[in-house]
Amino acid sequence: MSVSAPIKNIDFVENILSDSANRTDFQSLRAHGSKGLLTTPFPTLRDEYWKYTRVSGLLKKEFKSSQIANSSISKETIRLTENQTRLVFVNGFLNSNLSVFPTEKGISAHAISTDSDLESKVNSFPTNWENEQEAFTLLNEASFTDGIRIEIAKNQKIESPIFLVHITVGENVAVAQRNFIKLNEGSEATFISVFEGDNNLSFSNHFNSILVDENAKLHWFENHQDGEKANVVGTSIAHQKSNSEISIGAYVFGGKMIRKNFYISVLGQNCETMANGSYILKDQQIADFRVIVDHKAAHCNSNQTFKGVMSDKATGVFNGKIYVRKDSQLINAFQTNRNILLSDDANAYSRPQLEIYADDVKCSHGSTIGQLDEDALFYMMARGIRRTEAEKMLVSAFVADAMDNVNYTAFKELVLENVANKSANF
Amino acid sequence: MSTPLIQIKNLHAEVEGHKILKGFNLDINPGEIHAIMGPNGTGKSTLASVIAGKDEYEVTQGEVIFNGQNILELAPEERAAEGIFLAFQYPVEIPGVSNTNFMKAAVNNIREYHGKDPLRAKDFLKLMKEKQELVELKGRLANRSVNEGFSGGEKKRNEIFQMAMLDPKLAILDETDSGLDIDALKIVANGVNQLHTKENSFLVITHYQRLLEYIIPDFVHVMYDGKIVKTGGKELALELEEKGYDWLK
Repeated sequence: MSVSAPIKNIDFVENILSDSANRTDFQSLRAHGSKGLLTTPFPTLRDEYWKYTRVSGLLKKEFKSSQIANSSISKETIRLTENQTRLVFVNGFLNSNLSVFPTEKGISAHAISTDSDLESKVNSFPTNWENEQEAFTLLNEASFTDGIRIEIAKNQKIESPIFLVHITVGENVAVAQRNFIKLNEGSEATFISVFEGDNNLSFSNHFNSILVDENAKLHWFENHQDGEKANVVGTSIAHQKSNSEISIGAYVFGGKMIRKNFYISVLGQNCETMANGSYILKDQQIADFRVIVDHKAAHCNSNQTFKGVMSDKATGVFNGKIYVRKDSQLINAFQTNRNILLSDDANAYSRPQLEIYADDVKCSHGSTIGQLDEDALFYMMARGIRRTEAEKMLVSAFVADAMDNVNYTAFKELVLENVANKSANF
Repeated sequence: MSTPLIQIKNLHAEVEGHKILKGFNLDINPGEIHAIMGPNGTGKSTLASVIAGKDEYEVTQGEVIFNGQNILELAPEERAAEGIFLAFQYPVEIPGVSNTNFMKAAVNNIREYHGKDPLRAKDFLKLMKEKQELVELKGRLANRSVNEGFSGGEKKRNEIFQMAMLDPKLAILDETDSGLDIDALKIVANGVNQLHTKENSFLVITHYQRLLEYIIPDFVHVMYDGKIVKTGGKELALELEEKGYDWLK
């Protein structure tokens, strides 16, 4: 494969592309990806949606395409996923030994690498948002090694959550995973993604392509407890048909740089869309969220609540956008991003944005950046509560409403525990 | 003669260069109730905050000996654990922190300070229930966020409830009567009187003698310009009500 100008200097991309050049599956998608990369440069700080997160250093690193590897699952995740469906990916490859495949009626799950007739089945899945060309998304197209296709059958309500466990291990690995998730008409399911790994330098590039049909309900939650040198770009693109519901909650605690893109196109009427998230960061961690809810149909509600708490030299970014297209009347759309900075060198960048082309809608957006309430801290200390404990309680209280939509108690408890543990170590 | 529970000696404090306390002296013995009255801006609330350990006030001279220990070196939470309680003039709202979790953290942090195990959940809830009855807040606050959406009266009753939970040696009531109607005032005073023993003391800061009809002080002090200018018995409060403060300045 020849690689020209825009990515010429990015060795690891050349490596990754040459590694994947021998693959025979998804040839047209892969060709689309590698061709797109010829004209789509990787983002710099001059790019509107990458203004605060520099990836040029990352792109100079010597990453190698991941190979099938072995690992074990963390104790917390084993406890969380006990007796549940658990699909475990080590360096982006589905690991059958660690996985517990679904037994419930109405779920079909297939690893991409073993599903022979997959290409025809995923033709209708979204590959980008509004034809926006993004280098990381194209790289994923060109180089993904494995992933899962999960389909929930019509009118099936899956009671217990489906866990997707992502483990990254080994030195300088580049992981590229692609998942296809489809909820057929009238179905309901909860997906919980857990990210963990060792403390080696790594780069993971995940892509989730999601279809939610009429009257279906998708609950999608993520917990990032990645290793301390993990770099992650994760993009989830969802299409939502009429009378359906999507509820997202993404929580970042670990990793070096975590970039999360959620692009939700609401295509039908009477939909509910909720996208919440929280990031609790210290040292030089970066969490960068770009969240788009695109209302292309009337009579819908959406809500985004993102909360960030940063200490040391950490950086939190929220780039939220609500589009209300022409003729998408009677939309209620709300967007909130609130941040607390615990040190002079911590950063919060907040860009809650509305772009509205319809005239009968109710939309609001707001953003705050502040400190913990010193009066509340003194009040608590005057009752005998240690300062560190008081800070922990205030941080937990601050982020709590970004978890309101989590419908699986054990996961909510894990997230709250992560909030408490992280804020106890500021 | 008993040893004072607290001795405040020649206390000077300032905030952002403004001198507020200018040589304040006071001894309180175990079991005594002292009232401090005085016009606005004489340093009454500053005194309360300095004793509780609010760090925006800088103590420039003097000492505060509590139970034999100079507490000016201690963090606010350590002073609380040693047995000092401040009922706030303006109790702070803490959205998202339930009263139950707040009190559990307070009770158990103080127990930990004294090397004791945390209270068992059952015992803690029993204690909560018992003390809530004291201020007639029964079942009304457990799951609500601390002071959030409380009326003025509920906030002050919540202060007395917290005091009852923590069972301090010295409770400072900073204008606990302000903003209270007569019924709430009686509930608050009744709570204080039930908690008053031969061992624990109260320092009641107030503008009006009304509260002192229900909480009977052993001593009344008049504070003016950062120090005590007159001390008397409970009848002094009545005299102040009649004459105002001007004759003392």
